[in-house]
Amino acid sequence: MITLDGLTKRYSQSGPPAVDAVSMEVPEGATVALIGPSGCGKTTTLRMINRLIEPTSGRIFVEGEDVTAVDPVLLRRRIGYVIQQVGLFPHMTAEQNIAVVPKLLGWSGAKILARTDELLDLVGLDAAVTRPSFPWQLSGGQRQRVGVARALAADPPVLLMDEPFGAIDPVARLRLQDEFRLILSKVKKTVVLVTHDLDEAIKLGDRLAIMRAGRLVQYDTPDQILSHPADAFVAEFIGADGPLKRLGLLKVDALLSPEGLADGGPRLVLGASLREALALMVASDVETVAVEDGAGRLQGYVHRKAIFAA
Amino acid sequence: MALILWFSEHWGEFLTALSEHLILCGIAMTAAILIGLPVSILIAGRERLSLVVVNGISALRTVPSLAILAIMMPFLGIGRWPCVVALVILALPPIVINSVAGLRGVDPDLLDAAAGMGMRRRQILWRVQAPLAASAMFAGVRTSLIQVLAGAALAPFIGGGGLGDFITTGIGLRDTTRLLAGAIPIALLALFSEVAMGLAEKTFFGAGSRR
Repeated sequence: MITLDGLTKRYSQSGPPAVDAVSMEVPEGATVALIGPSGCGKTTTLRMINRLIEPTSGRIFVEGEDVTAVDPVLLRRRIGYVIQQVGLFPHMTAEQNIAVVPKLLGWSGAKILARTDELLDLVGLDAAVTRPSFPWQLSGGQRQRVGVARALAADPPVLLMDEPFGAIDPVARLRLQDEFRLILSKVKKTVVLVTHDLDEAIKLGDRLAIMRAGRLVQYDTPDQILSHPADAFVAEFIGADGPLKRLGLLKVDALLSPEGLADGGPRLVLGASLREALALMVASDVETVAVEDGAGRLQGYVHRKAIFAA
Repeated sequence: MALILWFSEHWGEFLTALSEHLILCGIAMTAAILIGLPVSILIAGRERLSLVVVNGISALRTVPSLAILAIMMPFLGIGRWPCVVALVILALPPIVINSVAGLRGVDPDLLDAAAGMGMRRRQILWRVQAPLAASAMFAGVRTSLIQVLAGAALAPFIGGGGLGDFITTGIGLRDTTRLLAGAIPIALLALFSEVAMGLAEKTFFGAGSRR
């Protein structure tokens, strides 16, 4: 759990603060996406949590402990950190990169080795092949995975990520986001993620924190933000297709109705989003789609009206 | 033919001169590395200071080696030690300029990652910055070694001895054989060092350790 209490950063006495009294609570195991236009203070806020930037005022609590005054270096060893360019050290192998924080913490060689293999396995890399590889021998996606493994190395309760998928091409990015979500579901970390990509924020964030000019404008679940933007700025930020993005979050499973066409018509599989259902309706010019399970057995129907009311 | 005869007659004298030359260069290079690398590490973190030092050193570099030797003379007199001092002055610029450039050229994202993972400043320097700047530092030492080996040829002007002795006396006595007996080994030394250092650079910092 992370709690920010009136966190403020001023770079000059006269100008407006870069971050202005941000207070928020990130629940244990939740992922929060800090998002907003460039210069809104999201990265500054993130970097104040591990005190790479010292706050001008306000307090930070990690796991209930006030860390505003502890040794920032020791604090950082308890917080995983992933940056946009990954930041793998080019003169170290993947194994040595992952071992950085465990070594700083004085772990034994055997423990580090076991942990490295475990982590490479977790992020979906072949440990034997990857361990001795230098960063330049890995693809962008592999590097990013090693970066995540490195951040998780000492099993920190908290993970900070600054545009972690920003430097990866769009196709690989979508796949990595999916894998990352899967990894997070296994390790249960409290994550703060900075992104400027709303789709990424919606996909990965249990909650979104929308910032503007140093202030936290709205802090809520993606569903709430998309359906009830706090003000005109948020509404404009999520854009005209906000309602569609929101349907992308909801699954057809909850809207199944037993009544529908006896046969034929387009079909979806359980777990599909309402956005997919709607797209299928538009494409096939129908008002109802059938939903089946993985084995092809009919589970029920979704109606256009039900989607509109969702 | 005359050269071979000369060497057979003056072999002992040649070996003495060669060892003087190598000792002169060795002491100067060791001192330059021991001064240059720590100084570079100390100033690299400070932007203004490193700019001033690097620019100052670059300006000094335009002073010819012979002039440096000549300037030394009134202050330090003649002999081996003034020569060493002059050679250190000659050797420092490439080492410092390359090292500072290498240290400052390390990707700031890497330093940010290192700090973010909980490394202290000293750990960032020794575990990230210095290893990544090592190839630039080595290149500086390489350039400086070649300059020193050649520069030491001027040592006899202030009584420093070495292979340059044969050149100066050869010129004075119009004895071409003696002159070549100094000049050829100096050229070979410089060439050999250049090749050896090049190979070492490739071995230590070749493809594989760089991105």
